[in-house]
Amino acid sequence: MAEAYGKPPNQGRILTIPGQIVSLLVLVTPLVVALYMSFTDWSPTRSGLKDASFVGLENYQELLIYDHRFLQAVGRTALLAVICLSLEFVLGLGLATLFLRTFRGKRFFFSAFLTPMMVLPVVVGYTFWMLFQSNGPVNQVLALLGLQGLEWFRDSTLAFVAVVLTEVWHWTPLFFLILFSGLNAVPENPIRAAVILGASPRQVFWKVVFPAIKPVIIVAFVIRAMEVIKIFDEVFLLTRGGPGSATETISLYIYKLAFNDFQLAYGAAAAFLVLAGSLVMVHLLLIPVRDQLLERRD
Amino acid sequence: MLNRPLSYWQIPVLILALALTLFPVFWLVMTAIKPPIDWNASPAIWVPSEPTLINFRTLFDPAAIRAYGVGGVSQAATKAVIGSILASVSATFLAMALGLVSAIGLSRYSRTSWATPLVILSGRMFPPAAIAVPFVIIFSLTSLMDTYPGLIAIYTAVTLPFSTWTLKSFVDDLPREMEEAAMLDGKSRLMAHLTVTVPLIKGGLFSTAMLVFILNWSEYMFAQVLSNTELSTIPVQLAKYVTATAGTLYGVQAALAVLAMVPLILAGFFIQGHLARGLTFGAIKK
Amino acid sequence: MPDGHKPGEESLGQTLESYDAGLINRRTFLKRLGLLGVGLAVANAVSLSPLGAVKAFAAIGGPEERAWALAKEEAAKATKKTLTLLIPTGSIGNMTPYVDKWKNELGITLEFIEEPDEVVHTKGMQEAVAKTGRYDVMMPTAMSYPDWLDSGLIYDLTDWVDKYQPDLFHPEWGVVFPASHHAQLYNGRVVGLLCDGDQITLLARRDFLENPDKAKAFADQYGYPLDIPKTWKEYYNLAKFAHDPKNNFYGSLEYRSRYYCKWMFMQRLASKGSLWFDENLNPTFNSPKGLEVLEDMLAVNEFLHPDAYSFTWSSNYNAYGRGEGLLNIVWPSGFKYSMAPSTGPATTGKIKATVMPADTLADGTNLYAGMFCWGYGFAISKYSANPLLSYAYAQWMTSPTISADAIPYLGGYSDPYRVNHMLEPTERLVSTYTKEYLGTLYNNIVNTVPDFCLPGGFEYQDALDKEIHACLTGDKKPKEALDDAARVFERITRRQGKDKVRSAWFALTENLAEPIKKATGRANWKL
Repeated sequence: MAEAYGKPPNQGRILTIPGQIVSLLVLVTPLVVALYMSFTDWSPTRSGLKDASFVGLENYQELLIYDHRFLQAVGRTALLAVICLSLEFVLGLGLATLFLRTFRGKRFFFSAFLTPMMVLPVVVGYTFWMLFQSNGPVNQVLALLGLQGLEWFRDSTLAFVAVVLTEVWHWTPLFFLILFSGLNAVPENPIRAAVILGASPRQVFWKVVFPAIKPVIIVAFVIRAMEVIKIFDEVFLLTRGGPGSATETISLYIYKLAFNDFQLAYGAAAAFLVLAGSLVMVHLLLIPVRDQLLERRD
Repeated sequence: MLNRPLSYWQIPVLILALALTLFPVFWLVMTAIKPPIDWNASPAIWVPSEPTLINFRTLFDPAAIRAYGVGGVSQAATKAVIGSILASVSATFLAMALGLVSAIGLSRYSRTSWATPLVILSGRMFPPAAIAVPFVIIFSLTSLMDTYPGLIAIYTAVTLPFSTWTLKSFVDDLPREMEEAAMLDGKSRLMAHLTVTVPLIKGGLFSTAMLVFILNWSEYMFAQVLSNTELSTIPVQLAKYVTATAGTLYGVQAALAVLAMVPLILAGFFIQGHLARGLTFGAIKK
Repeated sequence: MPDGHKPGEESLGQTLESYDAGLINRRTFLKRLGLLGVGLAVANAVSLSPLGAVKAFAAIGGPEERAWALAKEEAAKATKKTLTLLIPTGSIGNMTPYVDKWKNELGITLEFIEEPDEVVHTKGMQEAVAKTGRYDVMMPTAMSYPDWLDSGLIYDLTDWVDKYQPDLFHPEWGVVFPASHHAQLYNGRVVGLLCDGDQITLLARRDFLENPDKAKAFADQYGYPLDIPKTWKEYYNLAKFAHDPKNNFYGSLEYRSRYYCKWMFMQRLASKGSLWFDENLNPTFNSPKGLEVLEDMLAVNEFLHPDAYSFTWSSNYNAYGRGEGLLNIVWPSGFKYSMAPSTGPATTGKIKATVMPADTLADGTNLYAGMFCWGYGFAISKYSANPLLSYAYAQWMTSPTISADAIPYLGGYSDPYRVNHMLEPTERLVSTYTKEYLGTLYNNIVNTVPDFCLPGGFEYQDALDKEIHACLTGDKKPKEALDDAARVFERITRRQGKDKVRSAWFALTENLAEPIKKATGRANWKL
């Protein structure tokens, strides 16, 4: 044992170097370029990057103070994230608990429920666009239930709901998968003990199982939160950010800035603000489980 | 965990959940076998009365769809399929290999702090649209535009944070004693990791590989930005069917989408066992 | 026979002279020219030209000949024997028929890089940064030209145009004015050669209009005969009258979707006698006239197709072709679609078209204005290894003679844009578009106003489009929407540089139909 503690960590740290080299070359370099860009007023229509003038924090100021569209996109994306993640969590957890039971064809069902995750985002986008057409299957079914002619792409709220439904359909399987893994890993003994002590299934779940999987839930949220903030393909194909800009997420706005308007420096600044926000969010999410995840198994 | 069957009310819930989950996929498959006249019909047609394989054929023989009076794209999808496979498999392999090595290094041989996950994950948090042009600048200077190595490098770099962090949590979950025991037995450090660490996180490895592969397979923006004539992936090809001659080729798009789905679904089916237990992130106390 | 030649053996020159002298009629003339290997487009135009056949023949073939001569010269010198074209997906049909000719006669391989519509602008931007030299010819919409030129991506073509004379502004076979200026110039310099006449026109179902029961009911209700509308008021009445949702038949399929709805706004505004900036580049759409336009559009909302709010051009054409509405406001491609049996099963043979409706000005006159929007053209990359060869291709493809041949091919985006396409069409053009519609295209194009072909054009159009869409979908009141858009316009102008945009705007609006210039006050502007 003393040997284990005595070995200097440096020797093994070399293992992290390959990953760091790749990240440095391929990830950090463009990030540095983008950071430099964000302090200039560069647009190819004016000059090359080398000759662009340095404007300091002007872009950041403009974004945070005057650019209502940016701030609205941020708020909208945050709202979308909260709603989608909550729904995905609830549905994923529900499904996972169902799968703790035994039933026939479980293997088939399991694969079936994972399918949405395997569909390309662009495909999800335009498939749901087809589904939500005024005479598409969704409205046809709703008409049978008494709800006539919902205009999914005309009404801002409905458009937002359509985006939520699309995203939730697409990624609930991931929550399901992670939560199911977590539930499977909960040790049996505390459960048995609780049952023997007379706890109802509901109490067993909420008092024993749920606390045990809390860290896994947090991790699932972190993983999906990072992605949902960047959501682009599905929304672009579904609504293009409309009606008006009712479903315009951060990524859509940055895409417009960079790819249509050539406002590359401004877009880079916006992206760094998003990065900062995401870092804060992930940090806050990880606080409850910080110790658990960092703890060494000594 | 309690080995009970489903309660009565849970059965219809499960069936409803299945229906809702599979309906869009069903719609996609149906669209893939619809003749052009049915593609955008109003009211929408659920099951075509005359299903056809013309959409699938058009993927590989672009002019085939003209027989129905609609224009086609001029390119076959073959290159895109091969490109997707090449880029996704390579990038996934690299991200997993580098991620595993980094994960072991971080878990066993480094001091990690509260900032570690943030640093690792930050690479995934940056909106792709804003980093695309910096990539263009760098890649055009290094002649990597429109090349597979360039795309694979990007894919590896952006999924490396995910694979590193995830695999690290699985390695964290393993008590050090397991490797120490192997080393006491006379194995070198490297062999200890290979014969002990890796097999014990097998479930996590498979699950992570699957998720990383899905991320690479689905990626659109970087592939679009980098591609010209040499580079082609499935999402890029799909985008071309949107404004093909005579308008959106809904059926052909759907056919390609179905083809793109099948390998993932099959893979998911075969590694089910690993998936069902893999993603614990080392967070459950044993 | 003059000169002792037998019929059929007359030379070309003699045929031309005979025709000018009135010795043979037009039909014979065309037949003989055909036998002599002259293309129909040339023959047609020549036969009708006031210059006289001899002079006209020398002139009309000119652009094509000069381009071909330049191409030959450049192809021989070229080390890179490939010409790479960046084109939007769906446009290739007009260009593939000539691939063999270029390969066999010039040794040049034409390579096409197809990208989705919106991506062409982006790829251009990336090329401005990356400078790879991958593209020789690029095919954007006219709205890309200002930013592309300012980024140093494309050539100013004016000098080449002066030298090789594509006859862009020729009264008989030039690009129709004012599209010739809207869609090819930036600050008065030629930056692109138009290859696609994208103007919007009004379509209606002839079978509905000619239905005697409907005609009687309409005349009884409105007091004037049932016919295709000439004013926006008539348009409203007709949409209301025809609207029959129970039978899946809607008054109009007018676009209400993002990116498209601004064009609907802009041309109604123009027909009310207002442009979108004044001479000092202040926004003018947030005015009483602009509010009127939005009120008019909101009023029509209840008679529109329910999918109007998410229409792409493709789904709009599909819906109209399925027979789901009476009226539609679309590009010439939409007319082609509705007429073809495979894409317009319910509308084939049943389409009547007209110029965009007019609005009534304060002095009682009707002002006709249309939109020239989208419209692809050829630009030459500054990083091309073969710039002159690329220019030769562009001039050749858009020459009066070749373009008349290229447009009718299926699977492309090209629509008529030169005078001879519309007024002296070949048989193929007539069978694709009908003589009547070609006349309509001409009558409409002379009254078009341009899109935001300015520096920062994409930003401006998006800012306006977003607010208009928000208003039309009920999220914002008209005044709020237009004021918000105006505020963003000010910010964009500030960032782009007011003087820069202003001079471009002056140059752009210099060329408009006289009634529009008068009604909008443009005639009195001073730079």
